[in-house]
This record gives sequence, structure tokens and C-alpha cells, in this order.
Amino acid sequence: MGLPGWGSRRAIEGDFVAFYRARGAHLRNTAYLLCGDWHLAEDLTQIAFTKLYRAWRRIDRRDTLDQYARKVLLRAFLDERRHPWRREYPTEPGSAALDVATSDDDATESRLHAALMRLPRRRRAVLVLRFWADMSVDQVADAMNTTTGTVKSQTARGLAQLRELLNDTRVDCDSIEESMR
Amino acid sequence: MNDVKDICDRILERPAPPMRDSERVLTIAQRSARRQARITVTMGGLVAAAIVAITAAAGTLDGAPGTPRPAVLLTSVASPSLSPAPDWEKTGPDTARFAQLLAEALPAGYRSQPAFGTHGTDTWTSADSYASRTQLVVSTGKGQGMLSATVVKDGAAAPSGDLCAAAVTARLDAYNPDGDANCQVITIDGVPIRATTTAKGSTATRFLADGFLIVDWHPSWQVPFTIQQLATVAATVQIPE
Repeated sequence: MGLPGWGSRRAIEGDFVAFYRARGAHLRNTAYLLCGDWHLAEDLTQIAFTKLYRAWRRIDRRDTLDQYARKVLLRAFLDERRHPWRREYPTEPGSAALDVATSDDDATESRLHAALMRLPRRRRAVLVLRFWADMSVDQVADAMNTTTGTVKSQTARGLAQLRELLNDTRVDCDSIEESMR
Repeated sequence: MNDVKDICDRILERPAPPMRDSERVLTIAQRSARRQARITVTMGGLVAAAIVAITAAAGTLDGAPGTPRPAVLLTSVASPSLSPAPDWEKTGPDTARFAQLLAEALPAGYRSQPAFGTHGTDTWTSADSYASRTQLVVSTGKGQGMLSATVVKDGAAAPSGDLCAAAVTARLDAYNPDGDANCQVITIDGVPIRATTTAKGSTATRFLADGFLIVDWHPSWQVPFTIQQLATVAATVQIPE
């Protein structure tokens, strides 16, 4: 393989597919934690990988692919939330492939999920990226196009709000939909 | 901190739906890239005339109305994977498609517009051979220049030895005489490219199974475009079928 970004088309496609297979699931999980909807998470992941494919030649270092992909994903998520048509249904429901089985153990997860979804989306994004995706403050600031100070303050507020929400017995699944509008 | 990670992990413990397979993701990405390129080419066609007009005006301002335009003749070629030259002697050249492919092969930060409407494309054909040139006006934030790509189908096999050898030069001279050029061979991803430089510009030649592709660069306003970059364009641009 030649210099990154200057490979042949076939080599790029091979690298792209390999990267998707290696990191696609993680990126989709990140998307799901951000948006709380598997349909939209699938869409956001596709958007991120599509933009990544277009930019493949411009990315000089392979070790920055992950950071680039997460940045694109985050911005796609934030952009998607600005679209009026996204405020109702992220994706037309009905795809059986995206249906998820539920179990009796889901109650706790649903409560946790509801609490996370009730955070303002940028605050939620900071927490997910910092503590689940293990991104540094600088990386999160870069991805969100904001300052490190803002990331730190959003982190502190997000943690406090999350604790408060988790102690709030009123948090339930119905609140997810409301918080996403 | 770990609480948040635990919360996320627990949320994700629920079974997730199957992921979209990689081939599907790639197909969608490729389709999107092609759509974007088509839009660029279409918009570029509208802008090209304006750019060429500006270029002409700049030439006048230089006080050199007789200044020769960047050479539109074949310059040099580079051939990576011995793709066959397209059958344009039968079907006619698809220069719009080739302009799109050429634009996709440019390095990052380089914008392009097809030089349609002026001398953007030219094709010479005979019964079983042709030479078809496609030009792009390539620009960066610092300036612009003219990139020409010429597909030549002459029916001859690709040379097996030194691409700077006299026999190769003689073959190319029929299309692109560059007698005093400095010649070197640059290999891009296993594809040998004949790269030449003259006072007028740079040329990269990639040999095809039955012809060759010449990509040459004539800077107008100090746009950096190294011979290595030019060779990479020649090596990576997709040859239309």
C-alpha cells in the first residue's frame, strides 16, 4: 500500500470495508447512545461512513480515522436534530430487521436509557463521547467545534443532571420521545 | 465517570438489530460520491466559461496577448494496471465522464472545473485509433492551472522495459514531443509512471494495454502541483470502459 490517501481505488475500497467491519458496530453504538433510536443510529452511521469515504484520500493518517468518523457522526447527529422532519420520526418505522426483542430485564435499562435521553443533546453527547467513547476533552471539543472549557462545564452539568434524573422515579420510557422533540 | 460508562454499557446490553453489511455501506457511499461528483461537474461546466474568460483577461493584463495558451497537445502518460483504452473510436469519447473521473483523482484541496465550452475537449480519430484530450481548470486557494488528460489508443503494447528509453520517447513523440524533458519513472501503487518535466510544465504517462494516458499540467498562477502528485493522478484515475 502506498501513502495513506493515495491508494488506488480498489485499495481504498478494501481499506474502507475493513474499517467499517472493525469500527462500524462501535460507531453505531455511539450513535444509538446519542440518539436513542436504532433506525436513526443506522442512518447516522451510514452518513458518517459516506462522508468518511468521500474524504478518504484527504485523511493523511490512518490513526485519525476513528476520530474523524466520530466527529462526522456527532455533527450529523447534531445536524439531524435541527431538521424539522427529524423531530417526529428519525426513520420511517416498519423495518423488521431493526426490531429489537425485549425481555423482563429491560426495565432497568429502559430507565437508564430514559435518563440519558432526557439530557440536552449536546450535554448527552459530551458524556457519551467522554466516558463511553473514551475521548479526551480536547478531542470532544474539536469534534463539537467548541472550547475545552465548554466541554468541561457541560460534563459537570451533565453528570449532575444525570444523577438527579436517575434519582427521579418519574423518568420512564415515555419521556424519551418527549425529550427528543 | 465510570457510572456513565456503566450506564451506557447496560443500555447496550439489550440485543441490537443486525448491522447493515459492509458491501451495502460501500455501495451507498460510492453512489453518494458519484452524485456529488456529477453535481460538481455540472456546476463546473457553468463556471468554466467564466474562469476561462477571466484567464483570457488576465493574459491581456499581462501585456502579452500573444502568450501561448498552455499546450493542449499530448504531453505525457502514465499507466498503472494496463487497463485497455476505451473503444472511443467506435462509440465516440465520453469526455464528460472522464472529466468526472479525473476530478475524483485530484489531490485534496484541489478544485476543478471542466474547461468545456472552449478548448476543453478534442478528439482525433482514425479507423482503429484515436487521441482524445480532456481538460480541467484546476485551482487552489492560491491560483489555478490547466490539467490535460489525453487518452491515446494506438494499438501498441505497453513497453516492458525502461519507460524513459529512446524507443518509448519515440512512440510518444508522435503525440507529445518533449525532446529536452527530464524523464524519470515514478511508481505509484505498483503502477510505473513515466514522468517528465520541461520549462512548460510536467507530464505523467501511464501505459494502457493498447495505448496510453497522458496527464500534463501547465501552471498558470503558481499552483503547486508536484510531479509526484501528477503521477499519482495518472496512476489512480479510472479509465472508462
